[in-house]
Amino acid sequence: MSGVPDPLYVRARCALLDAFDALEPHLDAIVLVGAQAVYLHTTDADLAIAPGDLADSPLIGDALTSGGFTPRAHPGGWLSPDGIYLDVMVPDALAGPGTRGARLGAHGKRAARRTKGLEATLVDRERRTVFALDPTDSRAREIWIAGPAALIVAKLHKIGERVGAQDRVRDKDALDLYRLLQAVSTDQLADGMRRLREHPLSRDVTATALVTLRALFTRRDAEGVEMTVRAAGDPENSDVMRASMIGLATDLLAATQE
Amino acid sequence: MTGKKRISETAALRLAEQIVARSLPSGWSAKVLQAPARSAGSRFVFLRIRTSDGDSSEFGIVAKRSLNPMAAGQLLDTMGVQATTSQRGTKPVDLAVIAPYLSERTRELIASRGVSYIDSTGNMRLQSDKPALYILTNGADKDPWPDDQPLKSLRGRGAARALRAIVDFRPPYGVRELAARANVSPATLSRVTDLLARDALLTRDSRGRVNDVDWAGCLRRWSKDYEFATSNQTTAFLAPRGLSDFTSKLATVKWRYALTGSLGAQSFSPIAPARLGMLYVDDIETAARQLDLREVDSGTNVLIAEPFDQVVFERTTKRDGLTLTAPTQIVADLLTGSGRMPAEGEELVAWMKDNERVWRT
Repeated sequence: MSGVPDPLYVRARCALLDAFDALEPHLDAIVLVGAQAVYLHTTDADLAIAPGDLADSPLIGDALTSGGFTPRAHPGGWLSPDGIYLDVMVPDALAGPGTRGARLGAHGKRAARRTKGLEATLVDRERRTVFALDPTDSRAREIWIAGPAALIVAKLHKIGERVGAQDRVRDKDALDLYRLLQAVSTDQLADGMRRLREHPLSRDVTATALVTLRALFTRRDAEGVEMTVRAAGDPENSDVMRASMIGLATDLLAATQE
Repeated sequence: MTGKKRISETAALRLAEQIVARSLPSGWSAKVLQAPARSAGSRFVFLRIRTSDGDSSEFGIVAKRSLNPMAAGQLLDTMGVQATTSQRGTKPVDLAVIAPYLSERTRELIASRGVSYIDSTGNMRLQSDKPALYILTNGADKDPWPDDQPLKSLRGRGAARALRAIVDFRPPYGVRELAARANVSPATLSRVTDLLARDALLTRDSRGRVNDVDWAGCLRRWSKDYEFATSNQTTAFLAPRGLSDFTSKLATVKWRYALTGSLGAQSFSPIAPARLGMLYVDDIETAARQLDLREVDSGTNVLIAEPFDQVVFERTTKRDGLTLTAPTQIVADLLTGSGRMPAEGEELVAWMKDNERVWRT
């Protein structure tokens, strides 16, 4: 990024730091997904929680509420005082029984949503410091952020769950995937995928994600490639995008072959 | 005769016949004859010399409208083959080259191979064993028809190199002086200067020094004969991580390159983000490998070129860690490109008009 950041990113970053302030006692159990700070500029803040590392108090719901966040209709959905969405999620494999809300013991089943594919973010992650973008805000937090291979696994699950839905939000996930594949070297991604496949928590979701990658992103007429082109809304460049997506996806699949 | 049109081969043959006839002893005759050749459509041309006794000798003729020493050497190699395969069986045919004018160097070269020659100004060396004949006469020392073939296009590599020199350097300059500065052949530079003067794209003073050049007009004129995609050896590739990744990789390579096209232009004047990377290199294969470029059926975003001439690597600029070919070259490459590139070329021309001090030597 260069020059003055978009005001929306400044607000989003501020909301994210507000959430970290509120959840400070739990920070070691939280991984920032979407990695606003590093790979992409997204305006929504997604947090993955490792239930086993969570302290019993304060309760997540209480902490966020006293931090000014208000709960939205679905479990894990929160809104910052400034109108920024915050999603608190638990990897499906660790979320206990049920279909939507994650069972988090004392924290209840409305504080976080269960999400498949996030298992990878608890395995492929690194410590990073996230700074405020507003020059008058001096806050900085060292937190866990998901690594790029984990982000790709998470994105592929989001995309794979709603194949054929023709919805624009899903299209945007395909474009995020494209940008991740472009920004990170194939070697680095393949390393991450190997680690994810070796870990019991992330083995299955990673295998599923790679199957989705092959099915949806390695042929010109495949649906994922179409989603990417649609999301970019740049017809003049669509042939280059198609060829690039296929090339990078094929490279990654080849590099992850044992 | 200067300023007149060089005479044709046929006229040179007719004159040669007269020149030879005048030099022969009385009672001898010389005649140019044509006979159908074995291959359809072509003819053998002979010069037959008859002595007063009735003996005769024939020279196989090769007539040329002009012949420089290099072309003469190549021609003689070919004629050597013809001599052994002629109708005359095992006996080699005596050969003679006929042209409107043969320079001293060309005449020496022909003679050194044992071949006869006759030019229309009277330079002649005619030799045969049977009947024994040897005639050597001198004609003009200078070509009466110099520069009779004005340059009609800027298509050639030498012409392009000369044109780049004319637009890159700030006049006034003399042709020799510019030829030395830009390492261009003075003869080619002179011919290109003539062409541009005929098109009113440059003016010269009374002594022939170039004192004003319409460089933008010259570049537009060049773009009629030159084309990035065809004048250079080009291959299209996909850079799957996009053009910004392509230029970051480029900034780290050790080999020689020069960026052109939209990516080059945007370093000088602001234009919309580039869609196509255009790059000059010495070796396309090395470049493709080290820049992680792919050959794909459709969806290419990079064109790599082995250039028409080394001039694309001369007078380059370094900006943002990247080597750019000269803006004059970028203009020519854009004007001959597709899509919105010609418009970007005109935008760069506008910038160059306002910033002549920045780019012109």
